[in-house]
Amino acid sequence: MNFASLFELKRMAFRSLARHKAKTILTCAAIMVSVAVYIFMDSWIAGMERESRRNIINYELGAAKLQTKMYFAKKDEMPAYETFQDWETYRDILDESGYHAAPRYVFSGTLYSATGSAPILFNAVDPTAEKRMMAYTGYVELGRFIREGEFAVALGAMTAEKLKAGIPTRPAAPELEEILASELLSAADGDFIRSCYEASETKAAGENLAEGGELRFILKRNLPTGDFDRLWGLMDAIGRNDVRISTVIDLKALPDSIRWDKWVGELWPELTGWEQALLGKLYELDEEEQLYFFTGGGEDEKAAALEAMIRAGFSGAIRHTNQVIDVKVVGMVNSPDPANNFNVGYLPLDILQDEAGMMLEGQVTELLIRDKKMGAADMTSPLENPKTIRAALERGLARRSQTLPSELDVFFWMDYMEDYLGYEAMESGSSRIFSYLLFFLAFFGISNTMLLAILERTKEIGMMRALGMTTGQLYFTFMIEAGLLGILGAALGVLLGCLINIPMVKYGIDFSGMLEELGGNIGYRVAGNFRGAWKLSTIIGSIPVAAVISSLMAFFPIRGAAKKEITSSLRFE
Amino acid sequence: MTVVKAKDLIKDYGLNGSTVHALRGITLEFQSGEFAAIAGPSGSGKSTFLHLAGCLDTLTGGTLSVGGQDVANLSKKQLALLRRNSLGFIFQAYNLIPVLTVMENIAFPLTLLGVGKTEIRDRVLQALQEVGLEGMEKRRPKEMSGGQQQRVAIARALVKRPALILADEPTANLDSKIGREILEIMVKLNKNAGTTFLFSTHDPLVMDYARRIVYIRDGQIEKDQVK
Ligand SMILES: Nc1ncnc2c1ncn2[C@@H]1O[C@H](COP(=O)(O)OP(=O)(O)O)[C@@H](O)[C@H]1O
Ligand SMILES: [Mg+2]
Repeated sequence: MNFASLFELKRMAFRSLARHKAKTILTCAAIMVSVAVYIFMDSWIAGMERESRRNIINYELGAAKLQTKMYFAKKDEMPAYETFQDWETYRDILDESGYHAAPRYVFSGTLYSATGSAPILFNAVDPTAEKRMMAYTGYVELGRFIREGEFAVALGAMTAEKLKAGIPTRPAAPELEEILASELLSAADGDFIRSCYEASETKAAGENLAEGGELRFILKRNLPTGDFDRLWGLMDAIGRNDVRISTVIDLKALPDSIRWDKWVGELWPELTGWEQALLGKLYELDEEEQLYFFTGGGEDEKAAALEAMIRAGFSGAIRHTNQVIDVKVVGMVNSPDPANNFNVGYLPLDILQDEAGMMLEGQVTELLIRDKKMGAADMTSPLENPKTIRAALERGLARRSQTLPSELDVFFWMDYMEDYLGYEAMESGSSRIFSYLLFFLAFFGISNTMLLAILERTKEIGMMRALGMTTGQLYFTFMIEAGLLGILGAALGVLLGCLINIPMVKYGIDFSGMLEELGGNIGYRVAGNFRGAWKLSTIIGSIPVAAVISSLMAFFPIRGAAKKEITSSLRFE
Repeated sequence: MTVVKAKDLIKDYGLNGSTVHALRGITLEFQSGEFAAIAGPSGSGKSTFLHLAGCLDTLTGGTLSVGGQDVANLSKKQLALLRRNSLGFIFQAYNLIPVLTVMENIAFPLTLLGVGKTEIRDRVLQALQEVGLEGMEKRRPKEMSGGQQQRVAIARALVKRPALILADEPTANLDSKIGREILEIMVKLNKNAGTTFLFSTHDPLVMDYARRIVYIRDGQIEKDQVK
């Protein structure tokens, strides 16, 4: 088969498409719609993913963390006892090397307000460092961010709302009445508070009555800043912002004694040979008491023994102390990353150092790291490769004649987000199923169109084969025809998909309402308004892919025609 | 030269479990330059013989060589190439490709042969002249009468100068005046260019023109008459 004959056959394919206009248009339309929907969905998903990842980096984790390897290994349990010291040195070195670094002590606890309680993930942070590199600090929409030295917490806005702390943004009528009923407020204060709200009927229809028929009020968002401050002050005055953290201080400590059954059942089997030897040396069994007693040992031995117990997951090596800390809510965080807005609180790190706090004495669980050149709109830079960061740290320490302790390492943000990334993969897969289904239908349409076209031209095909057209040329002609259908449909689909995408990418979609309905957790780290993203590979790729799939769809109908006896094709009416 | 050589040719069709014996041992030869017709009543096996001679179907028994090649030994693709290179067909129903112009229809066999563009053009115009359709190369089949379409089909069959043109009842759809015109064209081609024609027909007109008539009945030769 030479080129000239291929060219001629292609012309025949073109003409056939033109002849069967209605069918061509219908099939093209089906492909067009499916391609357009695919492009739209893909843009949506790409937008979600990009936004989510960017938010995780800029609002939650930074690009990388310095942390103990043990913490990293047990990160799902958030082992608050896995701390390290001397973070100031590391911070300074990172600063010299072009990185922002922010220390954090992360622990979990329960927050009690006057009306309720909620489990909270507390981040004890250095407010100044945090403001330099974490974007959520700019989203304290009511109140303000925490300051050093104060017993204060900035709470995720949704949680604050739920606990009835801070300024209520959408109070039901009784809640507002309760606030106004406080004896601590003057009549003028009451009028002022009332003036800050409007009944929600004036907002949007359908929102005017909450479930149960309650009237809701909505905080006016265009008040002067001074009014917000005054409002916050009044909420403070009536005690709405006084909350209590109840938590447990977990400290690693070598136990003085270990019950015999725990020793045999939980500890011993998890230890390696040399660890068993070490503990056998440090502890002695008292047969009568059924207890192993610590008999003394060197500092290094004690540290190694403790490390071995922790590694073995032995709970006896963690000492728990209940702790209660009273703090004031000073701000409500409402960032584009919903993870910050629900069940999260930020405290100053410095107030937790002694017995009044978490007995940290300079310890932190992590140091968040970010390239100084990267902003809230950026993903990671090459400089933020954990190996690069680690190298910079080691160089700086060497200059100070120090080394990085072996238990510490730098971990990339992605290493913490396996759950999220898994969710992302699953979610994008299931979202795409819909468009795959459309594709399937569209290409089934092509197959059907080709089947009919081939059936209709049975006699013609018989004649062409009689004149010496080979089976290969037969396949070529009709696959080209189907491929052209695919290209035409996909090209139109790309056009349509891009047209739909322009507003998606430019203005985005606001689904903050939906997010609230779902309790803020939709897996993706996007809140409120979010935009689609252009994905060039999909846009360009869909045309050849459609061409190839369409051609393949013509395969079976052609095979049917090729198998038919020429004489019976010729007789076909 | 012998163009078609059949010996004890048998063709059976399986039809709903029973067997139709369409050809029951045909021994026949056609030489190049012949202008011959296979005649016989409907269902006698004329088309079946033509299809076998045209390598469109496989035989059940006997031997058959076309253009000097034993067809039993040829693959599907080789048969396609044999048809492409050496055979021309004219069908009762013309069988033109409706989406293509007259020019392109006639060019089709040459396209399959890979002939160059300008040569195709020259040869198509020549063929059009031979069938008396000068100036009609841009028309579509549906814009032409039955006689004209059959002339296009003749042009398509002869344009590659095949060793043999097989014509299955070429005049059956035409009235006798047009049928005569068509036959005149074919006689002229046979005389001037030496093109070999083999018809199947039960049209007395065709038998009039044929120089040799092979009568068959129930798949067997009844009479082989050379005028
Ligand atoms: N594809 C087929 N399947 C079954 N029987 C067939 C087929 N083609 C032809 N026949 C039978 O073979 C016999 C000869 O047919 P054919 O060659 O078409 O006759 P003619 O062309 O002389 O009218 C007839 O009985 C016909 O019914
Ligand atoms: Mg017949």
